[in-house]
Amino acid sequence: MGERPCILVVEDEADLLELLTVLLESEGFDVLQARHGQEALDQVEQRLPSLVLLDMKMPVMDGNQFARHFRHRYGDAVPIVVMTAADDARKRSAEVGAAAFLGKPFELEGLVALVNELAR
Amino acid sequence: MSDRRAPSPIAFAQETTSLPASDLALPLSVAFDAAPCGVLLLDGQRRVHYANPATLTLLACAADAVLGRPVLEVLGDRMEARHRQALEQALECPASVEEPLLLNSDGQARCVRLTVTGWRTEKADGLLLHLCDETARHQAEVNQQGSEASLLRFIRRSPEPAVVHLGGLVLHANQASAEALGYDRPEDLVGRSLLELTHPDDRAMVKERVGRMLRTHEPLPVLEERFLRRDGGTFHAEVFALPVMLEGRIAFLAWGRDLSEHKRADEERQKLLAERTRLMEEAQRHANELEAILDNMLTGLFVCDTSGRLTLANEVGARLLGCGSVLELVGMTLQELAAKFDVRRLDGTRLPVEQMSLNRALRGETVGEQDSRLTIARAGDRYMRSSAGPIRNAQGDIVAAVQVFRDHTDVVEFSRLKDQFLRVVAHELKTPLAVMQGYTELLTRDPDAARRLDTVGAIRRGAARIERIVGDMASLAGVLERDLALDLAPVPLDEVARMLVTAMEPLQKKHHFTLDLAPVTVRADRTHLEQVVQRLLDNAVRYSPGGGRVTVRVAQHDAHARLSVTDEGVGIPAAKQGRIFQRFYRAHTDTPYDYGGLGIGLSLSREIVSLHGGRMDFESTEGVGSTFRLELPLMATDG
Repeated sequence: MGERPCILVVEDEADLLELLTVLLESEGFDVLQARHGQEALDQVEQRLPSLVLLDMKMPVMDGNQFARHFRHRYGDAVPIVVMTAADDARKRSAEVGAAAFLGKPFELEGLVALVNELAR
Repeated sequence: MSDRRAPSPIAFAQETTSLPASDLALPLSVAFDAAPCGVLLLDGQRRVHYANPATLTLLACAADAVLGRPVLEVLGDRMEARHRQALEQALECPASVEEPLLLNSDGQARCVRLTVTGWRTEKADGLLLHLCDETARHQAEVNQQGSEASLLRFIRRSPEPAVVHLGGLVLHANQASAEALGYDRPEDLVGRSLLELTHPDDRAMVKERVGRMLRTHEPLPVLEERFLRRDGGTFHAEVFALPVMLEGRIAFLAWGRDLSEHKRADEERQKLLAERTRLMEEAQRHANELEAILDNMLTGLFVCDTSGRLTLANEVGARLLGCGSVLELVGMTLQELAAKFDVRRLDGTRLPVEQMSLNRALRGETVGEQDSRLTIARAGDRYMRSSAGPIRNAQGDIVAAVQVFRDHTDVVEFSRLKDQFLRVVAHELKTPLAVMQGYTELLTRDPDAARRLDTVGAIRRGAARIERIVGDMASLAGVLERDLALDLAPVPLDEVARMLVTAMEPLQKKHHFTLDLAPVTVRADRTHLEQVVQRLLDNAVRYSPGGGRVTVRVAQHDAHARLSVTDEGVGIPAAKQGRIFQRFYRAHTDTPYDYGGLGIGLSLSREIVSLHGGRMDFESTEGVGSTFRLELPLMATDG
């Protein structure tokens, strides 16, 4: 299990979180789940992922705050892909120094391709 | 004046002497030499027998020029023919000759009162003539008549109206007075009463003046009097009255100065004054109207002069800027205004003073709508929308600028809420869509993975969420357009609560539901009522992410059914509680407690409850939890 690249999925929408988990696992990734920024920070303490799939608008701690804490603690090594329904997805992803962004709703095909490219 | 009846010389001689008649010469000289008036004694042939010194003085001749001569030569030749005739008659039949003029030997005319009387003695008879010199009196009378004539001539020729009256009766009048009073000739006035010619309103005064003059014989001061014209009009004159001697009697001259022209000018002036007063009153009325308009209009209004100083502000304008009185604003410059209210653009950048709408108007610009943000004491940031334009004088020069403005804050804030609402709607729809789309794609892409998940359930949940959002929006549209149709029927409120909680309970593992339900029935639209209660339950769960107890109570309170939902969640900050029922307002936007939603649920719920004749309220403490309550009119208790 340790060999497989690990993806951290931060998403408050339970159904989406499950979908992404199953999808990425079927693509051969380990998946860490978090429903908001705080849970995500707890998760990365256990294991540093190869890539973070980050929703922006979440309760408790949103994507922005998480990204700031994450960058502060772990630097720029781990790429972040922002998933957002916002119109200004590009701007928001730039703000957190994301490697890429996915506008919701997104196609799984594109997401898988992006994750494969950035995480391996 | 001497007595005209002179004593008989014979009788005198007899009384004063006892001498016989033959010695008459002596006693005559004794009797008449010292007499002041002339005495001539004629014999039976009408010849002068004796002339006393006074006679000689009167005739300016010596005694021998008269003695023994016929009296008609001595006197008659010195007279006019008519007086001579009268003398001749008097010599036949003794009488007086009325004051004939005699020409004396010095060539002077003497006025003489001549009286002829007869005398008779036993021996002889004859005539005695008295000659009284009345020249001085006559001269005085002639002089008097001359001055009266001059006076009357003067009056006749005076261009100003003048009359002479005797105790109020007109004796003489001139052409000017006739014309002034509307008569053809001066004679038309003669014989009329002065009062008759006086304006009725002034009659008492004129009567008093004439009476005073009759008593005092003193001139009267100049006074304005009104006279009555023949045509009924009024003639104004300044009258000076003084007593004059006329034909031996005291009459009065009333001399007037025509004031008609003066009066007309005065009336013209009065008319102009009245017109000016009227115009001023009209201007005042317009000013009052304008003030009332300015004070009652719903927009603020400022006027500034070309130096950019406020010269006028209305009450609304003062109120909008948080000032107690317009006096706080009038006199301020635009610079001072900009500094006092920190005038900024909508984006928060400072608005340069020269870009303020009044300044733009002073440069000739007509400013349609300009929005700015002002910081106002006790009211905070307020948005004002203003229009402005230049005020020009008749020559077209800009002399001032006027600005109207109103508080636009509600619109700006509503606009912001609306923008946010649209963003939220998009976001809220995108998430369930992402769920549905993702799972559908997974079904086709990786059937194995799809089988491992509750794919259909997730799709159904996504669709349900979209349906709820769409339903909320449709209800909102219905409420907004006031055509939300309520299908009213008896609804047991406790059953609704129980059913909804029962449906939710299995899905909410972290929450513990407590029911405290009394049987209460209301008359309501069941579908809408269920939506309202569902929203309260959803909110209770959504805003207590850590779980906890959710208590639902249904009870009767007086004539109302009351349902409350209490959670132990994050609560609502006190500062935001006032706006919680405001449409599109989301208390938790951009906070860690933003669990989604359109921001219309609570406002919509309250509208629906209100349509049922009920009301909604809440209590909340941040970090402790919230209780939302709705009250509906009771229908029955034992449904």
